[in-house]
Amino acid sequence: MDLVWIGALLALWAVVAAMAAGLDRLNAPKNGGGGRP
Amino acid sequence: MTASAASLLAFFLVALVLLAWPVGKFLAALCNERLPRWMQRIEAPLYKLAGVQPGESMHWLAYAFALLAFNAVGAIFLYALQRLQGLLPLNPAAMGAVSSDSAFNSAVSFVSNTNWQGYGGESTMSYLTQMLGFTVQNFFSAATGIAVAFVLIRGFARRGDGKSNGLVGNFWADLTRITLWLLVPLSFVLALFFVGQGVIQNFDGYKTVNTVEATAFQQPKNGADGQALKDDKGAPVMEDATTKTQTLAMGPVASQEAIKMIGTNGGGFFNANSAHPYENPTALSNLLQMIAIFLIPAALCFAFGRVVGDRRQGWAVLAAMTAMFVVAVMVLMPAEQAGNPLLASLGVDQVSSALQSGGNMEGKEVRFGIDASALFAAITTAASCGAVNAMHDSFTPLGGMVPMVLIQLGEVVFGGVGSGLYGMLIFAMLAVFIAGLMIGRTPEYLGKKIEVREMKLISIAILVTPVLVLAGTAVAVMAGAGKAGIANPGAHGFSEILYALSSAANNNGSAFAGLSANTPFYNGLLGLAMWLGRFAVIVPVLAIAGSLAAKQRLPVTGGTLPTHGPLFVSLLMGTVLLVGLLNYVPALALGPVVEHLVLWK
Repeated sequence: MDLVWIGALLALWAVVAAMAAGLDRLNAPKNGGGGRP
Repeated sequence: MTASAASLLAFFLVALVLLAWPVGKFLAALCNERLPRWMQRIEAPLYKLAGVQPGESMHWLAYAFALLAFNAVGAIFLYALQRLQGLLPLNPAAMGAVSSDSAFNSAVSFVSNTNWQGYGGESTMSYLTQMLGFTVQNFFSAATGIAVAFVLIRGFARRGDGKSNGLVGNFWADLTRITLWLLVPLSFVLALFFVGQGVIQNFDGYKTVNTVEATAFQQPKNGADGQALKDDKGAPVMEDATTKTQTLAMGPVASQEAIKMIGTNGGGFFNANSAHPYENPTALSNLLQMIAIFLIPAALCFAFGRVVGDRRQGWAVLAAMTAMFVVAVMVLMPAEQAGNPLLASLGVDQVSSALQSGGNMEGKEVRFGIDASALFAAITTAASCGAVNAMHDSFTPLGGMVPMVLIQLGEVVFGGVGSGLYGMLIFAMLAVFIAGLMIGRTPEYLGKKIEVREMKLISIAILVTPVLVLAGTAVAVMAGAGKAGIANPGAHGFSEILYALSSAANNNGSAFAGLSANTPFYNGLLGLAMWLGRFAVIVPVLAIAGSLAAKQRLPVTGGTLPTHGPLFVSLLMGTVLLVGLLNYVPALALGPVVEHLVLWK
């Protein structure tokens, strides 16, 4: 069972990490202010 | 509201402002990264050891990944600690490994600053788990919230002149400074004060003492195999028993109690939390606990005003928070003071007098009475603390609805350390957007234009928690495993589930206490709600901060909407109430509103 619950923790982490990466690309202004440096 | 209740509220608010002002000044220095040289000298070896360049400001995405990675490692460490505690030292009560689903729930709970507790501390956790696991996470989760608030404040304060290019600060430096210079010193002083009041701090084994008189009780009867016997209907078979002894749980309580309040964590050392005499022994310790909960959220408002260069902005946010809080208290206290009409019809005296608190005393400590219990309930749910000194499940329907509503507003009425301020600033940006729509101008807040990207991110940040609460509640009331945990049928049972999901997704952590939630179903569901309710809000807030930091700060003109006066404070409160509360009105109608109408019909 430990693998299941640790896997759940990692999956939750992956969801928010993917969310961060996705939001970085959301309507990024042309001057690059909201996008990658 | 009685005169004593009004006096207590007034004294609390005055004391809070007086204490929060200097803390706010120091928080502003932390946010501006302007520390005295001696502090920098002490920090330097820590950064060197970790290979961190504290002056190296991060892009918001790098900041977010650092924050997420740090908290994920913390969650896995906490999970492992609970599972292995039976093999580790500082375990005089010989506690075994925590079940895997409960360990998952508690790990997420303490990392996300929720401190929802499906377990009973004194019957489940070793001293090492409480200290090295939960107390450490109390510090780090609080520091994480304050760091995110700092980032958003910097986003407003940056001039956007090309030098910073959307850089928001260094996560590792923020985390270190907030923990080392704010949380640890405050907690140390508060812990010493609590010890003086009678909160215990030891590593003794549990003590067995003789009681004054024998106690008769019923307990589940076990079969020859050691398992509880059940009758034909599946109900446990009970047997009569008596005892003349009582086990007193010990432990390092004061050190956990201080950060539990200062960090708006709320996770108690004991199952009864701040209703337990070893956690909250006196009226004075109770008052200090209440002030400690609001101290940093209030101080952050002052820090916000200082850092953005206009202290009136901080006062405006604090005024909106305080006004909503006072209204909540003015509903909650009279609701509890009114008592239970069913008891009144039986001739029970529920009138406040010199001899008794009066009102609804079910689930409340006699040493605190109605006023201090109701005020504590409002404070702990307005802030996302979740510590309790009374059982919210035993409140009157209206009295129980107020804490639930305060949680559902998004924990922005003071809110959690950091999370309260960044949540309120999100609503402030939404308020100026609505005002901009009404007068036909591009909305701006503190000289930063609020445009399409920011509005999309604001929408995500605001909608995450209602979706988690309402969808989670719907799943729980439909699933058999969800309904099995309800202690009371009908509207109150629905309220128990709604409260649990609201508390988890908004990172409050208090419970209605009637719900049996230490099951794989609720441990999984509430763990999901706690994690996403915390980090799926933090990520868009960091993105907004990064976006704002890159924008030029526009000068104030005649067409700028003033955001420091009564008009904006009213607009902000209206936005919080309309957007934050309307989502939940149908659900509240099915729970506490129905229960109130049935009780007072």
